[in-house]
Amino acid sequence: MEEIKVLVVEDENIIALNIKNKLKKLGYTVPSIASSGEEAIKKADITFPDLILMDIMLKGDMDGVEAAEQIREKFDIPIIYLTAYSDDKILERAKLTEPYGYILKPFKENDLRTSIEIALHKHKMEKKMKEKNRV
Amino acid sequence: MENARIMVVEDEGAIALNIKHRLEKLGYSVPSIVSTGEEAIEKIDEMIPDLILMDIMLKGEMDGVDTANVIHDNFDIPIIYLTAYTDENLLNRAKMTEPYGYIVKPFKENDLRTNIKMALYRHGIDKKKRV
Repeated sequence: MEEIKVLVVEDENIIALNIKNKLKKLGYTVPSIASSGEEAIKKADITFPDLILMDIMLKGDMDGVEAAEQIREKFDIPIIYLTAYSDDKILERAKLTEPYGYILKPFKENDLRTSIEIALHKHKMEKKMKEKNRV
Repeated sequence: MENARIMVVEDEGAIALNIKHRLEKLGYSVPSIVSTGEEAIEKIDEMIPDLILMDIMLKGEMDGVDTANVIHDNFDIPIIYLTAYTDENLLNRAKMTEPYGYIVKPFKENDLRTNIKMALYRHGIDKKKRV
């Protein structure tokens, strides 16, 4: 299997490490963890992740939805939210960023795996479609 | 989308009813439950669902992935899998049908709610992009 790099954006250290371990066990690479939206944007730029797992409540001025918005404008990287929050207000904001998944905490390893696999495939298909339209 | 119509494809009666009940509590309408892939395909035209919740292990010749494949090729309706199975083979087959979600059983009401909301919104955007 080719190496798949996942950027984890999560401000709680222990949870971040737990996610990282789960991802590694599933065969993904986690080049780095970002704990704020600002850091996420920076790391999206320099670590070229194939996918981003984004918490919504983050340290700093920016929450996960705002970070996702900016990442979406700048890069073509699929984002999956991984959050304990599902109130309507957040959902409404989150869906505008067209995420490839929305996983609610607490989650199981299999939730991660299925969401990531489907997101990567979907993103690949969309990319192909875009290229086809360009030709 | 409020009051979205959802088709539930699930072959275990009690689970199907439980899902239906939860969906209705969330404000969706579930005009019918079908228990086989063949029946799902047959009923799409008359039900015109906005979204389909698809179990993978089904009675009959077709499993949920076969069914989703036919639906994906012939209709423009978003599908979310709702299944206890996640083995590699199945997941690989399932992802080829480009589902809008994959919920692993057992699941909570909020998993349903968030996945359906995202799927309906995203499907609307995808549709616009294609035009």
